[in-house]
Amino acid sequence: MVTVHGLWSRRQVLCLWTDAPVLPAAREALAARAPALAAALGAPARGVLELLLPTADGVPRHVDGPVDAPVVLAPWRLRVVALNPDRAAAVLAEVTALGPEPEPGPALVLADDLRHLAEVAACVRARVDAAHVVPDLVHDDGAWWGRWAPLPDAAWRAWRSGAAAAMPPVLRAEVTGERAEGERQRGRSAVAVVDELCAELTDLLVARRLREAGLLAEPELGSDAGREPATGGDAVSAWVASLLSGQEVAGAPAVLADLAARARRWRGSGTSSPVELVLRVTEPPDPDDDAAGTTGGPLAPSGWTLQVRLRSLDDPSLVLTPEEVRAGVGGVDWPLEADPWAYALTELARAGAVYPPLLEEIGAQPGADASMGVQALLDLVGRGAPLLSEAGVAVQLPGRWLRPQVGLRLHAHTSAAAQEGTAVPQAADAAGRLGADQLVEYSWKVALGSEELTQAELEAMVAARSPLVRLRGRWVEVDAERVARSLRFLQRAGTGSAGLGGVLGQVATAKDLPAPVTGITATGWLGDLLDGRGEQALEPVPPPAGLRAQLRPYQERGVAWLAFMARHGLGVVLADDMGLGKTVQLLALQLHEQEDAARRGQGVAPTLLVCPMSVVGNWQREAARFAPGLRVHVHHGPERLHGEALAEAVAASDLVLTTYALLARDADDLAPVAWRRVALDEAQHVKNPGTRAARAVRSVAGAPCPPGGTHRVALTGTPVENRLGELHALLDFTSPGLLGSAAGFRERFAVPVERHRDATAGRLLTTLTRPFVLRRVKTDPSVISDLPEKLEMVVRANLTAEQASLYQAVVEEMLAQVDAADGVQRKGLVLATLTRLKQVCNHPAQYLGDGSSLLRRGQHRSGKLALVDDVLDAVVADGERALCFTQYREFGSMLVPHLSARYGAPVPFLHGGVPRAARDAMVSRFSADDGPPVMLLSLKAGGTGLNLTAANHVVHLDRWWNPAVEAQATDRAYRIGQQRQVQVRKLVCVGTVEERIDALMTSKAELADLVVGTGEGWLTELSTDALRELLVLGADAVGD
Amino acid sequence: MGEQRPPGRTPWDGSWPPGERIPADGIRARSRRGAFATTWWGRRFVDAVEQVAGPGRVARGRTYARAGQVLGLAVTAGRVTAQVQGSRPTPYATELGFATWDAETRAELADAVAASPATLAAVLAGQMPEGFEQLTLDAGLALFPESLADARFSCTCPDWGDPCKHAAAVVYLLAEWLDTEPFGVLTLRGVDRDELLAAVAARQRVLDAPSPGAGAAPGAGGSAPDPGGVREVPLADLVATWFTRSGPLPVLAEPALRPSGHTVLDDLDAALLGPGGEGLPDRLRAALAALDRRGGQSGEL
Repeated sequence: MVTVHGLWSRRQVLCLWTDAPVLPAAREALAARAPALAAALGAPARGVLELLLPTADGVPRHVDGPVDAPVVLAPWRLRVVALNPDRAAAVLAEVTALGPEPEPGPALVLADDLRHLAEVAACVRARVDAAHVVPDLVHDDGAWWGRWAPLPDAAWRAWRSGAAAAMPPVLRAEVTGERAEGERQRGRSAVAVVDELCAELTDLLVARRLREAGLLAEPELGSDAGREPATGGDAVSAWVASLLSGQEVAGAPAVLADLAARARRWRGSGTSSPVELVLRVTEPPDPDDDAAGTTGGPLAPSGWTLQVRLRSLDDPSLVLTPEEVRAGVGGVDWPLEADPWAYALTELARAGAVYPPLLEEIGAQPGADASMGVQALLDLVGRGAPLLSEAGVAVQLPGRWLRPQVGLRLHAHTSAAAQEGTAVPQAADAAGRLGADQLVEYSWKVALGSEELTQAELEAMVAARSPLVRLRGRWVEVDAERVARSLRFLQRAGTGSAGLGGVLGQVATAKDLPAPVTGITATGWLGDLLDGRGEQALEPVPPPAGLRAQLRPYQERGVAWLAFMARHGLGVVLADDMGLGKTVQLLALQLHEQEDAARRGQGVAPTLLVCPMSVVGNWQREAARFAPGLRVHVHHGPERLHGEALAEAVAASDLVLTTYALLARDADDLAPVAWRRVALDEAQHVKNPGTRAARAVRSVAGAPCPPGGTHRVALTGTPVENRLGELHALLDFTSPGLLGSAAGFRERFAVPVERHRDATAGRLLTTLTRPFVLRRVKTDPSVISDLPEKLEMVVRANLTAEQASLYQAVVEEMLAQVDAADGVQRKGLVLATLTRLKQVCNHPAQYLGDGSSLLRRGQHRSGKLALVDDVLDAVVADGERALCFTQYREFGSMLVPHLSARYGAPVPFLHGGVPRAARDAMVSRFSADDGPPVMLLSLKAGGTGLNLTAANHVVHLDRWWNPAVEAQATDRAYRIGQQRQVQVRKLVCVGTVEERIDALMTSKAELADLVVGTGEGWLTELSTDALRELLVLGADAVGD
Repeated sequence: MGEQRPPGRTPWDGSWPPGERIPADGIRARSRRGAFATTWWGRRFVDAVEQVAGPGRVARGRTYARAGQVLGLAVTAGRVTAQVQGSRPTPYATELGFATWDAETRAELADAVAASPATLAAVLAGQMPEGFEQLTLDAGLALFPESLADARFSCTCPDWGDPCKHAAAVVYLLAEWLDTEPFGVLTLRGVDRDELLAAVAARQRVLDAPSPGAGAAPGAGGSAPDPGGVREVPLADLVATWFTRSGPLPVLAEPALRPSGHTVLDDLDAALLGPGGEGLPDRLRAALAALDRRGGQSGEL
């Protein structure tokens, strides 16, 4: 019986040997089933293998079995048949195919060692069959080579360990000359034997298949090109080239060695860790919660620890030590080759690379707790945590850790005397000087975030000299230096009293505040002012006897506010919406002050009102109408007075009107007057402080002043709060110094708010300015209660079949032409099409222009007109009236007979062709108690200037897509004088361009203002596809 | 190899130095002037070579290192191999060999490091704490070569100096590399990163395991050192079953089928390969597709 052995040698060849010659008959019997093996057994044994074999009595043994003599291991030189990997693969495959029978042929036995190698090879083939292979980069024979290796996934590694453990010991027993005796006795590593065999066979099989598939370049033997190293632009390319050519990898060895190391980690990356490293900071045990909870808290004790743990990715609440992971705590299945502890250490090293103090100072190690000083902790939290998070290392801080901002808060208290002044006294004090100099007491406080510190807490915190303190039961990290400076600031300037302007002015102008101001609060009337409730909280002023007007409630409140501010010498900006009556409020203030002074037998210095030239006449008429008792002098025109004459005229007046242009020119004449008040109308005209007019304004409003000072008023209808530069200019006039210089303001407020959307700066600015600015808009709740509601709605009509077919024809006609048209031509085509479509939507007769009747056999031809009838029927039934706007005169003209017949009264139609006198007649007849229930107006002629509050319904028959124009038209009915709820209906046709543009505008309100708000021109810029989408008739257009 | 020599000059003609160096564009030293390595551990190698090499060779070695004459440098266990462009067209192959630690010594290192894991983490993170050398000295291990006289130099250049300027240039660049890769010092001692980690982890495991004999020095009294965590039984204990398997080969699970067009490389993190790595899976997609035999085709061989 001959036993066939196999061994995978270090030289990467399969060595076959037998304990006796194989007979030719046995070979022939084998040749049919295993030709390669048979051939190998017949080949001359030219190879030499030095092998440790069990030796008894000086004789090597080739099979295991009982033996009497003592057995030792001794090296033997054997003659072997050496097969290169190619032939080895074939032989091993045959061995597998022969099956488990111990005797495949007569007198022939296959040893376990050979079978083991064959079975390993079979597994390698299975891996290649599944394409579970990865590229490797190996250094061999002085060069780098691209090779293929099995994918080292978890299943492979588990199998490999098992294959190594099961291996017959002889496979580890190859002896090579240079090995030391100790090494020789230890033998080769079983894992290394398996790895080498698998790598060699994998690369062989993959290369063979790639060659068969034409993907591997055939080596060109004998040509120089065959010896050239593979080339490529970079190391990876060179590597790929080598994998697909079998040639050496070109490139610098250092680069390739680096790539090989990277490739090793890359190959292992398919098996991901089920855990991640987490650095957990744990706080020291609570000292004593109750004591610390109320006082400033003691010095942060040491005893902070850093725990290096592994956190389950599946269940992040599972935080474990490596030992626990290894033990399978929490059901974590560990698939990696490296031990969990080694994994944790490698990850910790990665963390240490981005944040060295972790290892150097803290001395963190996996699974253990490292204690930290406060400084190390703060550095870890402040500097380390961001770096570590960026590197993907989790840092867990105690849940109650806070890092609040240190801020200053200003508290102002008005004295009791001032609080009495909340109600404007009927008789002012003799001196009349409450003025800007009236003192306000203030105090500064230090706050951490939203929590204000008591003096004791602050002192304790400073005394602790620690950036980490316990405050009210929580760990608080603070800028200790800033806290200390804040305490010094409080000790130096913590409380005081100053004029209101001075107190608030500190906030914006002080350069040496130790921390940013995060809040301003006040008590009493000042608190109301700061909260923006000043106007509401003040007691109303009795209506001046000389006022020939009924003030609306919000106007009364405005006058009370003006009077209050004036009495305290505080300049104001009155920024009510246009139309809310700023003029009448100022006139009422004038009369109030005069009557007040007169009761005390005193006079009041004159007021200078500066306005644009265009409204001088209006002021003059309004003053004459509402306050006929005021003596008004107009300083205007070429005949205007100068010098003495002017001074006398001014002295004999209560109100002097002039323009910005003349003020600049005649400042020398006007400045010497001690004005009671300087009021700027349309004050945005002086928003640029460098202009002559602005300089003149400041000089005229300056000294000399009458007793009680010169009151400064700015009137404007534009929303100043959105234009910070303008706001500063206005307040710089009315409340000099409050907001500091223009440059400082830009730095402190304008840039942070406008550019960085800094909410804190925005809030602070609002708080600072709110006392001095009164702005009501029509939609303010306080104003709405004075004006009736307005209900706006879009009402939809379906098209009739006739309308739909016309509409479709128009769209198709345009689409047929639009691509050929360009420039002006295209623009014209689009606008004309839009007009036609809107005409179709209004009424077929309008589009056709054929004078056909509006109804056909009693049926509506237009869905929209049917809807108009319905709406107006309801209005009339309620005894109310409606305004109907259209932009098409011909449509209005068509409706007049229809509506007149329907409601039994001539319906007026106000349009551009109606003479002035006839218009006035229409308006007054409509306003009369027995006037017609409906009035038609063209958008252009009837959109402005008319007061038609007799109607409380507005119907926009067609749309101009300009919200401002439509709102203006609506305001004919929705204005002062309107007593009822106003209902506004905007009609659109379903599934048409009307509905789509309406949807576009409502969905993108701000865009609509910017783009659509300018009219219909934007439509012409649309692409053909966008146009088609916008215009084409929807399936839902036709009703019924 | 068809090496070309300048006419009339042979490597052994005695006219040293044989000629001007040929400019090359290899590894550029970071150091432009003055000292080379900036870390204490890097300096140790520079100092060692400067002790044994003559001043002329040291100076020329620096010049070579700064001029990019060293074309490639690879550090493997106990060995540094490099190609240095000298005055002949074919670069010289320069090699430095260091005495490596045997398995027993490596086990002693693992013992020492296991007591101070943060130190090992620091080395892996690119910083060798001063304490690390002390730690090895305490364990009776010489981490750094006393002098490069201990190292073996070989170079294909004709200079009889030991070390030659090429070897000196390689040491300078080696020192710079070690500045950022302190673990390289251990690599030169034949210590494998993963092997050491596994060995330290194994010792940690002993420390972690609650055992009545806690406090006993780890590894003490144990049998063979266990560097890889896999027990390798000495061959002498296995003679009785020399040719016999200790058990059946484990079953290698058949991998799950993949969606077509998807390869195993798609599951790996290509970013780990560095520049150019992202495209690798695509470039090898066709090759891997050609391998897949599980679509009904039978195996070969």
